[in-house]
Amino acid sequence: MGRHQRHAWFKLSVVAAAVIAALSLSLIGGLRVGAAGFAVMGLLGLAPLFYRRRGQAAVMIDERDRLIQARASLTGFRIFWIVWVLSSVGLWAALRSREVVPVEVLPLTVLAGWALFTVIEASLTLVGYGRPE
Amino acid sequence: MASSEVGNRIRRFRFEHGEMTQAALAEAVSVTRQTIIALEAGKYVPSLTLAFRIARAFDANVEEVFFPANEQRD
Repeated sequence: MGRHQRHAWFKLSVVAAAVIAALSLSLIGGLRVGAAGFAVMGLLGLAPLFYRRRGQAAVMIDERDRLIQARASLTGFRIFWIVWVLSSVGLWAALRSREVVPVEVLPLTVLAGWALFTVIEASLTLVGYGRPE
Repeated sequence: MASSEVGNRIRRFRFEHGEMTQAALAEAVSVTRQTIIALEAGKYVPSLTLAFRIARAFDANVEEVFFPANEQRD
């Protein structure tokens, strides 16, 4: 397994841990406390550890890696955008002036969107390395 | 371009050039060994630049190393 694949699996693990933490905290203290669970995604900052130069390895990322990463990131952003717009507009269309959305939902939309993008990007990275291009 | 549209003889050329390893070829053309593996397995079609670098590493023409898959020659 290459370093990019290991990094993708790490990202999926971090997001899973963050979602579990957020849901658990939400059950305990509501949405405001639950949002703190997404702080686990700060572990994504450990990404450079996957790209440490080992010995005389000359190439860390080549054209194939860049192509797979670009496709994964672009598709991840497209899906995130569609889901985010549909959920925002859909919520508005469904609720109109009948209901009020708690303000705690606002930062959660950003955090959940970041988690969604990361999951899609990491998943497509793994698919990209595992199938013909 | 789909991987099924371009074939290559990289593996054959490696063995004909002193049984060059995949790692040695990767270092020679500045890519990762995983990319060489993907090329030989037909899972990746290289850019024109990389194709030229690979051919040059074997002192061969691009057409000798790469060919349209519907014109399988050997």
